[in-house]
Amino acid sequence: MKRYNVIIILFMVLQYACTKDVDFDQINDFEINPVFETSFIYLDEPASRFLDNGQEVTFTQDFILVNFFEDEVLNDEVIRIDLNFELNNTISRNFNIQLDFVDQLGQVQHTFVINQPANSVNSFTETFENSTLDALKNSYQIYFTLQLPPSNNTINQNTPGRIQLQSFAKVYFQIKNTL
Amino acid sequence: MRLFVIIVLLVQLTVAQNKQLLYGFNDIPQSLLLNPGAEVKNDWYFGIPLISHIHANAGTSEATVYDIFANNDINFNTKLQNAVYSMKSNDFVTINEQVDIFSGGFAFGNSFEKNEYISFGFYQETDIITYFPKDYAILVLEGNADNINRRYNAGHLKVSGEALSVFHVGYNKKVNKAFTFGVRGKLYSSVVNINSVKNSGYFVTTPGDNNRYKHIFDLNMSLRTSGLASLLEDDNSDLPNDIDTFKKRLFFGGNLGLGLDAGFTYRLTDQWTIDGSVADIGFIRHSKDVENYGVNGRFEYEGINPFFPSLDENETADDYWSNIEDEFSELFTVDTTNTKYTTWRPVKLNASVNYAFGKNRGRDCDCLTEDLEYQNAVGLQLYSIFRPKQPQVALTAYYYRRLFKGLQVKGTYTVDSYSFYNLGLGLSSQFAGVQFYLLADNLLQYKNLYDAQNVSLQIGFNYIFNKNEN
Repeated sequence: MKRYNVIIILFMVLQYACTKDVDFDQINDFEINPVFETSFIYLDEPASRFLDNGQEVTFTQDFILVNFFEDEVLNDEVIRIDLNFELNNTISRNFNIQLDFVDQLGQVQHTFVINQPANSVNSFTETFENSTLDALKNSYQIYFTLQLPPSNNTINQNTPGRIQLQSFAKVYFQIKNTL
Repeated sequence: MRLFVIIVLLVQLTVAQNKQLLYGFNDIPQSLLLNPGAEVKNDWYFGIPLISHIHANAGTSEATVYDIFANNDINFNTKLQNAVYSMKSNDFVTINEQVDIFSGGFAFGNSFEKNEYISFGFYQETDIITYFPKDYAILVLEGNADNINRRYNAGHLKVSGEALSVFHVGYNKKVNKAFTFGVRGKLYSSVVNINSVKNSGYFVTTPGDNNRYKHIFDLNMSLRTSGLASLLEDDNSDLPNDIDTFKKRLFFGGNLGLGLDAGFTYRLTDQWTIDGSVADIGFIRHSKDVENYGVNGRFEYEGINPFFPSLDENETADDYWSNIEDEFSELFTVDTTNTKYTTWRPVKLNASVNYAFGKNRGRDCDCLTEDLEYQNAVGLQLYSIFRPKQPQVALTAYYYRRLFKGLQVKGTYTVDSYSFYNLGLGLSSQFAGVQFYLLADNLLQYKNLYDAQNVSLQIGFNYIFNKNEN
């Protein structure tokens, strides 16, 4: 039987194959916080773009329909959004840009205005968190309004300068284990 | 009961296709599956059905379960992040499992000493490899905000998996004292195949022309499957039906293919031997139950200009935005096709050089007629398997010892992609014709299986009728 001792010993070695302390419940602590940046709106026009048949256009408005917050992942995992704007105005006129966030019933959920003085560089951040983030998530339409408040400096064909706007959204996620 | 526990343990925990312990261990008939040109030591054998050869192997080339789930003071997310950062896109996880359903072999030949041998069998095999999709993981973990200009490589997604059955017949001939060769033909029947290895493209965020950023998606991705669509269709509600489908496919109702193994052994001198083999040169043609998915295209996005949408005065900002949305969703719309395809089996190469020494002139032999066999052997073995990204290579040094007439052991030290510390031990014992063998590697890692990067275990029972054993 001596030869089988070897087998028995090997069996015993295998039985001692063991495991150190691991804790699979740690999966419940899973949390990652990625931050994404995505381009938003832009504008880069000469002063003459604000003329229509020689007349100054002081009010421009349009809207887009947004449905990205219908996506559950975005809805549940996004905890904060910053809209960052960089503006450069080389026209001798003030202007302002207004964004209105409107829900499906046509109710305005949130509004903000960026005032841009004549001949100035400016940056602006609108942060959406908690109640303002909820307002954003309820939005169905975004209205963009560009206004030139009345002034003696009426724009004509020869008015120099441009309006430049660049922007991006910074989206903060918090992704947890939801199993 | 103890054996049962061990079998369960091994099926759960073992990994990797290198069978360095079995290769050249010619006391075990299944070594012919690795080298059909090995020297056969028995007159006939049959494998005890379902338990003649069980092989299971799982491996990860970098992070282990223990790295991530260790019960210590380090925050789980920190451990997870460390694992993600430490891994490379070439790191992989493999799972391989093989069970002999039946096998056997017999010697024949005209001469007094039968010098030809036929072996045959039927086994089931599963083979999965997935590479670590590093750039995807980093993007999800960090987001693109701190990674402007970083090009995320879509090609990091690489996975292939196959479950199949193999019927094989091998022929082995000892041409003369020095030279033995063998070939084996294989008929594959694929149960399920998943294959996504030719992905390319990228996602990048760069400074834009009109706006702060430009986002570019350039994707060329594909996933090919066979045998999967019909199983998924019924929402897995009808398990008995699925099992019936599996059975049919195992017995050649699946997608079929052909393969070839070939090998040789050459005795340079009485003591020096070289041998080599190539296995699974073959293909499977996937024509039944094929469903392929593709994502192809390029999309650039800089945001929108809602005040002056375009030169076309009639276009509203929303028209303009809708176009962008459509383009974007079009890129990610999965194209489904049923184009037939062919996959190649992962080719495996084995080669070794061996030196035998130390004849036993002692006690229990009858030394009058038979040639005394050497009791010891040492050698070097080289193994290589061709994988989607690059071949995986392993080098093994071994010591083989015949302890008694019916008990042989082999110890191995292997260097491979997984580790530099792979010690293995194999044992074959034979009593009254019944052979039992047990081969286990990475013995050092058994101290903590959760920390093991690669574990491989093989076990089996055969009934053997040996030469010169009358």
